[in-house]
Amino acid sequence: MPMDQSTTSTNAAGDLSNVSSSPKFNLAARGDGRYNIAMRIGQALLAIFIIVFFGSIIIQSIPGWQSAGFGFFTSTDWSNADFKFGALSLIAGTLVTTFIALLFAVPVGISAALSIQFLLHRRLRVLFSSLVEVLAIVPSIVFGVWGVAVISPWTQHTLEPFLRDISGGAPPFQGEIYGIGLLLGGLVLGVMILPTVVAVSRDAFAMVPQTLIEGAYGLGATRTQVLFRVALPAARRGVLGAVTLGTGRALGETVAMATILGGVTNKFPSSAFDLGATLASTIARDFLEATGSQVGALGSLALILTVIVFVVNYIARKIITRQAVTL
Amino acid sequence: MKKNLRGSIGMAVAVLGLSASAVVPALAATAPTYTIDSTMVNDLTIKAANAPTADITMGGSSFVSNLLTPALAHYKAINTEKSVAAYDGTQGSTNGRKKVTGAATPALNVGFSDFPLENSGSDTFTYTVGSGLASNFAQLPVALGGVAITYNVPALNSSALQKLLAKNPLTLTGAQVGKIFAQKITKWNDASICATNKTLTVKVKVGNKTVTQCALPNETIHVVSRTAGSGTTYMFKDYLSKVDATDFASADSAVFAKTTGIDIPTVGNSAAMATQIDALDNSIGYVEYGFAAVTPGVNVASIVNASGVAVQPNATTVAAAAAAKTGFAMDTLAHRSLNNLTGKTVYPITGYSYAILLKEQSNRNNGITAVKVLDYLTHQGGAGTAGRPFTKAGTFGQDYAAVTGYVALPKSIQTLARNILLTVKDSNNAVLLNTSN
Repeated sequence: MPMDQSTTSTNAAGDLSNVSSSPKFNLAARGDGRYNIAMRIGQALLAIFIIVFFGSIIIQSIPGWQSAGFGFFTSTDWSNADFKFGALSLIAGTLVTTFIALLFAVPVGISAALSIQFLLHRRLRVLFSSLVEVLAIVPSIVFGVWGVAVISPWTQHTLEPFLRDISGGAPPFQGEIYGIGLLLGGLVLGVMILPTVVAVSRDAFAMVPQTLIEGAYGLGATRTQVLFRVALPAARRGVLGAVTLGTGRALGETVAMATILGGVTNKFPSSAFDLGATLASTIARDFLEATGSQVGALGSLALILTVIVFVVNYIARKIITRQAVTL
Repeated sequence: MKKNLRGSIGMAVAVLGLSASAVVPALAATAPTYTIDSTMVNDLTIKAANAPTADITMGGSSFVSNLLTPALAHYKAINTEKSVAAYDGTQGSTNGRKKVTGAATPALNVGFSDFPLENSGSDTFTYTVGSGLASNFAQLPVALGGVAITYNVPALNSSALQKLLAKNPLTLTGAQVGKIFAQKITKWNDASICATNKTLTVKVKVGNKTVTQCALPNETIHVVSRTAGSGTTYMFKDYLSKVDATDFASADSAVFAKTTGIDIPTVGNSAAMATQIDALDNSIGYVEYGFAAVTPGVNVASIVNASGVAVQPNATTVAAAAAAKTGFAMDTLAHRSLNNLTGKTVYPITGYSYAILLKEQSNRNNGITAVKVLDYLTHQGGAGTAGRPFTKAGTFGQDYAAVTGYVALPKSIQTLARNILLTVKDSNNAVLLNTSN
């Protein structure tokens, strides 16, 4: 934005008058006027965007609430074509796949980050971390097709029969095996969020003071003790942040889940082998066919998904602030 | 990679194309010179003055995508003016219908669907463009194909059984197909399926005796469905309504709903169907036969037709179905349907896929390009046999049918398509399909 010197100085003078009345030293007011205005515009745009975004989702979803009522949360039967709007099985599908993804991605991701940061030679470190980060740029549909074409025969012939046999067919490892389904969906999701978990927690480990590590070694701690008793607790805040980010991505993942889960929207999952659907995958699949109140129902799903993501983030933040370690 | 379907389709098309062009010199001696249809007015090229300012877009049905992808690439190659920029054949028929009708400025200039727009019938939806009337759209056949019933039963993969199957492919009657997709037949070794496949046997030792028994396994049949809005589903259900009216009352594009405890996975397009059948043991599905042909691990069942003969979907049997059809007209499903026709060589699940565009093209140059491309797509350049050259300007869209798993439109349908294209006009009521354009 072009602005001549006189305007800037006027603004600065005006702002400075506030500083004198304020006991605190106001850094923002002292700054460049142009910068100040740009920041204000940015903030305003962000606020407007957030209000419009949530407003439109809520308005879109009103017809859905009207036609389905409270059954939206209690019914497991979702069939957009037949105007049956019960989102419970979709909510369950979303949470189950995300949970399985975390079961896979959290241990694998954190140990990968630990070993990349502390165990590998500097050159290998760069190689391995960039290899993991490559996973992040693979398009979602590729993971979907990979899951169905390459991994689903393995889950069908090996993993799922194995789980069923060792558990004796007890829940959650019971019923018909399809290869695709919630378990495969969760595993593929786990691979998809792995780069997020690894990259962010690795950054957290890099922030652990070297003196702390060296001190621990100096006290005679073994390498395992250093990694799991010192480095991990010290970086807990960042690691939890990494898991939260991964969870956020897993909850909202769309295309891969639409391909892998089998798109069964009217069954509350009773087994990890079941076919299913998530909120996001159902929105993506049904939107094409939707008219009238069906669009509203999908809007309601979007609202539920948004709320779930917010709640998860809120809980994670609470955990982080409570368990934060002061160094 | 074996499972990379798009890659393998592309390779198959490329290899077939190359081998076809390799036989050109041999054919050139005997084949007649290009006798371009006498009513042909289209010289393929768009005159510079009539070229659109931007490329036009097409998309929809995945049933036709194996044919249209190479055919449109060829059209682009021979046309130096702007023509077709984007063709997306992965999204399904409903997308083709919606994107050409659904907004004030349609997202597609031409949509492809296996079921045309109608203002009545089971698959109607409201649309804004063209006053919401199907009669304001020009709709014409662009491709002729067969719906293959594909299956993947690992128990049949032994070399002895494969030999038996090569002689007598797995055969299903129409009623059996209906009962399978309604989940009333749930096991592969169902007595009726075994009775239809008497030659498909294995010898098993029971005690000291060797017994010959049905080779089909005692495994649950996993039905795979397309997602809602699929034109292939519509074509298939139209067939099922003729052979199993108790389970399938009428043609629609809804998913096959489960009726037992066995869930039915749904897939988004034809390529995904082939991939899913390949991946899921003991599965059965339905897909245009060109897709089945290029996917390893996907087998195609023979279907008993209305004359009681078991036939595989291929160029001969699908062409026989089109030839057996009398009184084809665009107005109603009954007039369009090629399903379950009588004739010893007729493949019973066959149908046309259609192009949809507005009759009144407000942007004249876009309209000219659209009708020229469609005229190219719906015609053959030469005598109508397989293996014609792919590099000459005389190659037309339907020349790709034989090598991509489709059948060239019959001559009468090519003429019909031309006549329908002649109803497409600009805002001043001037016909757009014209040599001077």
